[in-house]
Amino acid sequence: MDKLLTNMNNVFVRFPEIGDVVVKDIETKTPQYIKLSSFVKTELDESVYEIIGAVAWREHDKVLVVYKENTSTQFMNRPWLYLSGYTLDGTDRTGTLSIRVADDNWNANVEKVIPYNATSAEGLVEQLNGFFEDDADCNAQDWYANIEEDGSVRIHCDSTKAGKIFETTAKAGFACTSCAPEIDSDYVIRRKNGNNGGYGSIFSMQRAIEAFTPDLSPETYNPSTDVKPMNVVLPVTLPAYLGESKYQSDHCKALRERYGEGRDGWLKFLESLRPVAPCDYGTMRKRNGKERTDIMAQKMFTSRIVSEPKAMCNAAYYCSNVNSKTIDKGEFWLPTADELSYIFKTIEYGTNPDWNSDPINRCLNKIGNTVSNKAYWWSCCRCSVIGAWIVSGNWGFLGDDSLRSTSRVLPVSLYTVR
Amino acid sequence: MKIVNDTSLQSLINSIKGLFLGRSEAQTIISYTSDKIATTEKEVVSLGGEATAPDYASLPLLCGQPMILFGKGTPQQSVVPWNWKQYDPVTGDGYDWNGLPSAIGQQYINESATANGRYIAVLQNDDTLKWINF
Repeated sequence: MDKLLTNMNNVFVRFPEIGDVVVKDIETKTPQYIKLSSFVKTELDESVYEIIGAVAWREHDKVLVVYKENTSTQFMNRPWLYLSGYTLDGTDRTGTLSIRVADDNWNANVEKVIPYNATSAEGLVEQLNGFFEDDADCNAQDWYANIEEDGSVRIHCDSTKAGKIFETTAKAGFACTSCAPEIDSDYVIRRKNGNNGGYGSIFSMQRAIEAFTPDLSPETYNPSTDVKPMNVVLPVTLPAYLGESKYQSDHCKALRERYGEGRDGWLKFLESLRPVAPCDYGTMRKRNGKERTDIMAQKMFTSRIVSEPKAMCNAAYYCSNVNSKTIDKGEFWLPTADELSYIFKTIEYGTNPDWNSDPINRCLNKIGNTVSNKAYWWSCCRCSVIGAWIVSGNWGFLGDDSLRSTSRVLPVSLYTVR
Repeated sequence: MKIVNDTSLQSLINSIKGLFLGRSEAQTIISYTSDKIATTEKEVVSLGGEATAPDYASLPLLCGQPMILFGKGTPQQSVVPWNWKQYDPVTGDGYDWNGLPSAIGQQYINESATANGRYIAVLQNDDTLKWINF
């Protein structure tokens, strides 16, 4: 087929394959697909078609598309909480906000006793902001309060200036929610070996092979006690698997009995740590990336030093705001862990320095930004109060990272073949 | 009876063929279209095969496993349902049973029970699943 296609450029196909180019008809906004091997950008009439991205996966008529561009940003740059417990009766009262501060090297909470006398939420918010401005610690972290549409009092701060924002609590006249309570979290990924553990399920096999081939000393990846196949949560290094590590004696006999001897057995063992997808148990159940992204992308704020509304969840906002002549806002989203598991089955660029080493990057290299398995990639799935799931560019598995961290953001969308 | 003039028909076919001779682009399109039709046919046949398979193991799947699981005992790690597809290190297919459901609505039948042997998978608050006897 490829030989035939060398005779003609930009062949449109109805059912695309991984790496094929996604374009949209500018007049109708309908997605169409060009066979990657036939794609010649200079010969595409860009007054008729807009280049959108690359096909990352297809299941029958559903096409998972990665956008042609990606960026680096924080998952959550402005964490928020909702304040309650206050009394609006026009008498002198206090409430306590307990926060971490830089002077103490973020080690322990410092209590901020906030006086107020208010008969309305508006009055309370005004006094809160007065306190935040006058208090050196709160001012430095740009703490700010506002009233939401439903009347709730929201307080928030700059995560780049608040080292331990997620430790914030309220007491003695105030109460508060956890950070960003609208975004749920869980810490469960079912693996093919039957384990329902937390971080460590392999998403990028090529990266994991490179990372765990050397003899590493940490017991995390080099067990000091005998392990059974279903109990394994994290990858085990190749020397440890073979019972040849210089750091530990042999504790992997049961693994070799199940998956086989030698490097081939180790590779099969690593495969057993891949996530079960699709799966309804735990994080992989969260397959509506658009809904999760939209919730986060709609969170906006202003503060004393930020007068124009800005996003609070930069990663989601970036994805949700992808738009062009043919792309409407909200059409792309921050990928779910489930979607990342399909995308990173294919990605080999990174561990392999050649852009052409996998079809997705072969395509993206012609139209936009490539995707490296040596970078960290956010999912839209939160894994804890302080973190979200991320494909680790260091280990190749699904790891957790602080919501404050900056990592790569790859917008995705799902089209249906018509 | 209408008599077909074979010579005339062959002449017509040759004329049609002639229209395309030397037009490599058109030929490529025809070849490519034929190839895509074949591919699509394969997909349809594949789908049809799944839908018409007669045994339990080929019933529609939920998260890669049979919708109804059969085991001799209550659902637990040590009782692997006989129709569960365990992880096969050679092919990479399946995933190991751990006693817990993997899909909402998955069912489990305890073949050893004379009563109350039917279970269904339901979602819990922490996004995990559990079996409830019903």
